[in-house]
Amino acid sequence: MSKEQEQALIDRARGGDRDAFWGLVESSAPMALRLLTRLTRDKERAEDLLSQTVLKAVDGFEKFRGESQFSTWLVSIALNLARNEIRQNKTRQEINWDDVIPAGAHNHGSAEAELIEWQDPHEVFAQKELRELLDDALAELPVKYRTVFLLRDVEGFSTRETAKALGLSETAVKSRAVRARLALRKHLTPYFGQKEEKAHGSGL
Amino acid sequence: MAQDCKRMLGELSDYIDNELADELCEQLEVHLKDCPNCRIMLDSLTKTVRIYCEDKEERLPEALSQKLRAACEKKWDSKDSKK
Ligand SMILES: [Zn+2]
Repeated sequence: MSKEQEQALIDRARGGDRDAFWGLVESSAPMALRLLTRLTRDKERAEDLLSQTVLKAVDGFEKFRGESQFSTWLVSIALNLARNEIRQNKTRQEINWDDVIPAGAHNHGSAEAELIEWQDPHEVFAQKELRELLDDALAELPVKYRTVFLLRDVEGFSTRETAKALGLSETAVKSRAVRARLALRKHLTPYFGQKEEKAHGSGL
Repeated sequence: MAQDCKRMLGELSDYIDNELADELCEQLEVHLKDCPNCRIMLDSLTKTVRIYCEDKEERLPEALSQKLRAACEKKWDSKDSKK
């Protein structure tokens, strides 16, 4: 939906046009559902949270000022509602920078560790396995990195919209995004790394 | 991974997003030519982002959509009756 189309729907919805409001919901709800599903890892729970989100949006639509896109607003409602439901890895809330970047392998006598080249993930795994693997890797990420990665990298929010939806600075969004990518990359490398090099590689 | 390369990880990420300033972009590309590790890092990071973007469900399941719309109507009716 273009900006103009969205604005037109918002104006009509403000005037009490239910179909217009529903049009806004229909275009943003699939994204909210994807996020909720990946954050809770529970389809039913995600659908329930989406219902709550949409009803909250109906209730609070007067408060939507149009400073952000409707989808950003809806997603921030969803994330707020989901906050307590999101599965958090209790022991780890931070990503250690040094953990996710390949170390120099000084003890191997070479100046730096060789990184392992990735194969095309689709050549290594069937679609269903792949999805599970990706979701598992995502679940390993502390929530604050997971949400940034999902919004910005998966759903295509700009750094600014991500910052708005999460109430963060743009700098914080960027640094979390880098760490999230590196952590996921590290987690996935043992699965997607070229097999023949894996035998003597460091797993990074 | 060498210290120099580690320092470039943030830039590499910006590069993937097409958000790296032109000047830094050129510097990075020069480095990439000579550094297999950074090339692999770039390739695997790009693949990481891309693979998570694949096959996204773009529509709500029909039953859920109907349920939601009905719930909205009910909410609107109760709001209207309060006015
Ligand atoms: Zn390098």
